[in-house]
Amino acid sequence: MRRMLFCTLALALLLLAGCRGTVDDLAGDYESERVDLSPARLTLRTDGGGSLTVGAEEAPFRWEVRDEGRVVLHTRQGGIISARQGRGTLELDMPGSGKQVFRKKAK
Amino acid sequence: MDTAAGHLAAGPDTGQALRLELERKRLSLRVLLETAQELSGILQPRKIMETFLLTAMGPIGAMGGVAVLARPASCEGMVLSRGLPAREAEALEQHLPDICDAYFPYRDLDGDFPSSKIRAIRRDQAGGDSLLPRGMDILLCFSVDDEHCGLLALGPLLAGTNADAGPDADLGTGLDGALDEDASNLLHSLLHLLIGALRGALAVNSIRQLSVDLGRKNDRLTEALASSQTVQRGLDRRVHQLAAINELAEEMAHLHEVQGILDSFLLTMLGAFSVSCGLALVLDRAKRCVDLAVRGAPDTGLSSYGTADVLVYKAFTASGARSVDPLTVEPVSDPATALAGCGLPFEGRCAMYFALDRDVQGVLVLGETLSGEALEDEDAQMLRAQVGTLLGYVQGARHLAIITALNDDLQRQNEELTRTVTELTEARQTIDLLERAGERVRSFLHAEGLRSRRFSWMDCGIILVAAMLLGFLFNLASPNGVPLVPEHLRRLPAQTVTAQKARELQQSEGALIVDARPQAFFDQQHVRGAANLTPALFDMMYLMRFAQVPLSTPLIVYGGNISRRWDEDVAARLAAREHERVLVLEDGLPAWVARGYPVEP
Repeated sequence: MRRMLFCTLALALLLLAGCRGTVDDLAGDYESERVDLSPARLTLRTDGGGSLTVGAEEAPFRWEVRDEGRVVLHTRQGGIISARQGRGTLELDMPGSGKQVFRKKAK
Repeated sequence: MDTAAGHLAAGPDTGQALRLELERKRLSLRVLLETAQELSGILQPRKIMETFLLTAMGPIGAMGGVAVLARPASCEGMVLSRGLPAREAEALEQHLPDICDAYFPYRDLDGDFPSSKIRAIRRDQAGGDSLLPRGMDILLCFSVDDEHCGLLALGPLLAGTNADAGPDADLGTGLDGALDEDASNLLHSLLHLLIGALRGALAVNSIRQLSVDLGRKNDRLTEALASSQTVQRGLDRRVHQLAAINELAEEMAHLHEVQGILDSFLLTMLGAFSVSCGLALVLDRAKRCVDLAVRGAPDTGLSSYGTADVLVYKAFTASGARSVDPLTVEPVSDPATALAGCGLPFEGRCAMYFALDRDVQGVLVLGETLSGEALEDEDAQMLRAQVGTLLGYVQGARHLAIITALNDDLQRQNEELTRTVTELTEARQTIDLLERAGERVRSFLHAEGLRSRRFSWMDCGIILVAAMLLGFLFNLASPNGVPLVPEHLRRLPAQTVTAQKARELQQSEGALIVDARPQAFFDQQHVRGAANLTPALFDMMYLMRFAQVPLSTPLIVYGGNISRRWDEDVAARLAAREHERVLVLEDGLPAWVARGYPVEP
């Protein structure tokens, strides 16, 4: 029992540490690569908050890392947008309109 | 002397007789002196008898003579004769036993001879009267010592015989009637000289024989001493070997590995049998391993399994073993030839093949001894016995290894069993704990059940009010709280459009069709060219797709049912973003489909 509890705690700590590292890696500013529309900027903060900015309008949301490289954005209205981390990119799966790629800006 | 003085006093005739007598005595004394001189240097009895016979016949006046020297107890002796034909002399020698029976009847008295007396015997009284030649009437028997007797026979005499002499004549008064007193005395004296010479010669011969016997015995003693020394050396060597083997037994009693036992055994055998080099090898065919000990020579690769197997096989074929029986020890015949080409680092002079069982076999090979000599049979037998002892120790070591492994396994199983018992104990404690917890839960539920029977409507109302109050407060505090009054009840109803009109607006004014349903419904079927914009994702989707849409562009929204008015929600939000013409499609997608307008997929 003690061993199992210890192993569970150790695994949880490892997962937390891994997630912490992933969160740090994901956090930052992203820009859309769309050329047909006005540029869109996606901001992921390390506290789990974020926003999508197009022009002067901004849509806040919260985000979390679910699986390896899979990010979920929670809108204020309760909607969910799934995204996947790439090499310096974040690919959002927009319902009904396909995937939208955001490239991370250098700090 | 008294007699001579009497003769001188008697007259001239008497003086003449006295002179003759003195002359005769002087002659007798000269004969005795010459005889003594003749016999003094002779040490051989036969020569003494021959000399005496020659010397005695002349003064006595005998024409022939026979002298016998015999051992009556064994009827052995010698017969010498003078003046007899050769045939009679030869016959006398052949009749020596008969002569002994006739003239030495006291030979069975076991040494009780009548001292050295000289006895005169009449021929007619002796049992051997016919044995001696006729005419030999002077017969004298005498004893030399406790074993030897003699017989002297003389005759016939040149001066005739004296038939009137009495048979009982004594030696002091005359030997026989045939001789006068002087001749008898002379013969008596001569016989005493003969007896003395024979005694001396026999004594010398006895001494010589004793000396020879003594020398022979001395030689035998010397040989026995040499043999005893050889035996002593062998015993010393055996004692040394046994002492070394005893030490080996004490040493090997504390060894528990085959390799250590082989090293100690080989070292002890080399020392015990004085061998310069040796090799001991044990082959385990089941485990395919080799234990090897080499002394006094380099290791030439016999520790490899293949080479060791060949060596053991050749030793087996060269030994007297016909089958691999347990605890077999057999010497290897001609090991130098039999084991040649097996990689031995030295020439094997003695080898033993041994088998512990069908799987474990081995060989002991000894090289040349320090002295260069081959081992004796007793050494080989002792070596064989010691190899048998080695087998016992090797078997003991193997059994100990098995027991140790079994003990280790048993200890490990004990530890696992102890661990299992501990886990079972902990599990039992956990089960007890859970059972107690379950008992408590059951007791609690039972108590709650009992108490629920006392539950009143007042309690229910209080709980309901409290829950509503808590929910209301939480909804007010939450940023995602729902409005107390649905928004669609407060806002004005949206402007609607028929499917036909919507189609015309789409074709004529480029109206944008918006599907407000969730994505799952949208993916199943939607108006061709429609955009999916749900209330849940309105903010983000609007920014991504509708931010650049001109506000004057007609927007036709559809998607709703009895309980959910997504189309009206989306239409209200679009209108809130100042889009000038936001319309809701009447009857939604079914009306559009019923008209036969295009949809996808």
